[in-house]
Amino acid sequence: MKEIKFVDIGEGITEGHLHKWLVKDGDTVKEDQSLAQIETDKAVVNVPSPISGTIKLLIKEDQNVKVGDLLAYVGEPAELSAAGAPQAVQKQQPASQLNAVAAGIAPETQRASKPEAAASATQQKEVLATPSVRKLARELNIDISIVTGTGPSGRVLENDVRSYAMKSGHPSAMPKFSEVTEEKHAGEIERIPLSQTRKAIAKNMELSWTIPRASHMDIANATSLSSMVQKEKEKMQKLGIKLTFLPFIIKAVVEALKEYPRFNASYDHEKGEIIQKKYYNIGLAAEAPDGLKVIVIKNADRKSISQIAKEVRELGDKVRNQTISIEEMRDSTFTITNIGSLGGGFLSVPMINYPEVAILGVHLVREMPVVQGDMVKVGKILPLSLTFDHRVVDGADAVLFCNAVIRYIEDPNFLEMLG
Amino acid sequence: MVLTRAYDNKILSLQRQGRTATFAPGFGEEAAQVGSASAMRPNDIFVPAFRQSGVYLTRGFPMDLYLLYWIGYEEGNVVPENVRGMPMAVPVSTQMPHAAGIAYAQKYKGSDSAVVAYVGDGGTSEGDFAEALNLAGVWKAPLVAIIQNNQWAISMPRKKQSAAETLAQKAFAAGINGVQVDGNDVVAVYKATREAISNARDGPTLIECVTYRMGMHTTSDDPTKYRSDEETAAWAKKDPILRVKAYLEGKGLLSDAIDKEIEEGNSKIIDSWVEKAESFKPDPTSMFTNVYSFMPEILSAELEESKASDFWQG
Repeated sequence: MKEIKFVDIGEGITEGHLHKWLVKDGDTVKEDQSLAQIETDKAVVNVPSPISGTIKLLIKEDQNVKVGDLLAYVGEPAELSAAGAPQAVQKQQPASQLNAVAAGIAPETQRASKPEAAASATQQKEVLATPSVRKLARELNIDISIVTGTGPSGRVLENDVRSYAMKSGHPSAMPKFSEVTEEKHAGEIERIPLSQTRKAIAKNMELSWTIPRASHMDIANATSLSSMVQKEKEKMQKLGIKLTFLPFIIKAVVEALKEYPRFNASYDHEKGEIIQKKYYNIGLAAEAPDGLKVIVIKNADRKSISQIAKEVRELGDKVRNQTISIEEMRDSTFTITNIGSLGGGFLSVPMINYPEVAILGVHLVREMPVVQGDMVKVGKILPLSLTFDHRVVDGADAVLFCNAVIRYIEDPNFLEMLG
Repeated sequence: MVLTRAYDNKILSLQRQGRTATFAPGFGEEAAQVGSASAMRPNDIFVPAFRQSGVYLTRGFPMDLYLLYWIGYEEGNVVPENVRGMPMAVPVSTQMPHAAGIAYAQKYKGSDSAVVAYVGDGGTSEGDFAEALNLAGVWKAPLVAIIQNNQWAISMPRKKQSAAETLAQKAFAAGINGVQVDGNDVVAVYKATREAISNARDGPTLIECVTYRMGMHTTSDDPTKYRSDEETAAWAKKDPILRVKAYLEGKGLLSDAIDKEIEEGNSKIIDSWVEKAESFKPDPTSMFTNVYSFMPEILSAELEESKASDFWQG
């Protein structure tokens, strides 16, 4: 005996209308003989018999049927009478459910009793579902075995899981990003939302990554600079200013920018133009309790070493106290990141502060052997790295720019003038 | 021809029982298919679209595999080594540039093989079709392009398909031979194809087989919605199988008894194909092995689970 079901005879149809039986109940039919005409939104089709035998019709003409509904049995008369009516009644259910839905009546009692009844059947029932549907159920924290499948052979489909989630008031929004390890290490993983600052950093870094960049590295002999800083330190302290290398480096950079203005610019990728800036606002990367911030020394070309030192100190305090304003962190034209101040490292490859053309990494000054003529002396070595937008400038420009910065840092006359 | 029709009928019935996915039967186009495929020499290569059961059958493609494809297993679209042909191409006319290329390759290699490619009337409006004929013409590639002009491109009638009086004349623009033949006359199709293959060394031929799609475009289509019963009835009289039977009966080569014998024999052959296709046990491994460069633990667990599951065996 074979079941004759209404199957998906189009491409993705879910229901149809049993237009007409072409045979009568109890008729003898042949294999492949047309039994019924069913109308779908695509076509009117004939439903053939899978085998030869006697037919037992289970539903009436002129009735809606869903894919998977049992229409008839075909087989030996003895088999048919044995397996007849009860199943037929059961299988009528979808149609009545359909009517209930159409009439706007939710089948409350059925639904309420369903999860329990199904749950008890869980142990025996093998769930049919694709891996992606199982994953969805896991993500929504739904036991897939209690979801009623509407697919072929009761397969649980994505829609079944989603509609179950909706009904049980489940948040059906799927996380957009997930890791395989999360399933393996449930309970050993914590999800931490990004702070506003980290979100801003993440966004800026993503933008920065869009810049086709290259890096250049060199070392400066900061021995003269170091003694200059030592010399001026005391004077400054009286004015309540703690002097570091940084204001001198800022000055050296500004002078180098004047020589090589393409580094004091940004790139307009939409128009394919360089936006050349004729003001010198130097950004300084600063580590705040909640993450990286860039404070900006505006018009650094017009400020003295002591003014810059004072401003660096004030803005630094504001960052640490989290009282810094947005205005004090924007509109930089070139940025310096002082990796040395963090207390370690030799050389790094900094990320450009988008949309600027370049960033200078300033590293820890260390005492190192320096060859002067035939002599090896102890010198204070300042490693520098420059990451630059290769659309705007080339490696040769980077070398020239960096050489200029080094020249100023190493030039006693320049430093004398500043001091 | 009767076997291919019987098989198409069987697959249609299986589809209506949910035992195959969408299917494109070739009712009415048996002469165009079997006639042309019979004219091919053993070393010639066929390049099908997707309504060529008669070609597959004639060229010795294992027909249980053919059904397997319609059941939904891509394994059914793998052409065995001993069959000289290409897999089905469902996107319209995309097989034509392939065919031109394969034909040129034969010439380049110094092989004597010709390529016989199939396309529908709708396919002749595609750029691919024009490009393929043009290149084949320039290269003088051994290509025989067969248009199964069955008058309907799904619901688009032939008269709206092209303002050209014939589809065969599309050959003129490409500077190649064009032939229009009664596509419901198996002998005529055979003769035209045979000639085209013997001339293939000198360049391509386009053969328009004027025939009629007696059935639906595919099982998802209902032609009664867009064409008249009169039209269908008129073409039913020109059914290529009726015609070849009448011819053979006239020659005293066919009787009702022989016909019945053939029918019963075919039925047994078809049952064996269906049985073989339906007993196919897919191997789920490839679903998992081609996703990552390595096998993540979760996939390896799922692979084991799917291998252990009786789902694949059922």
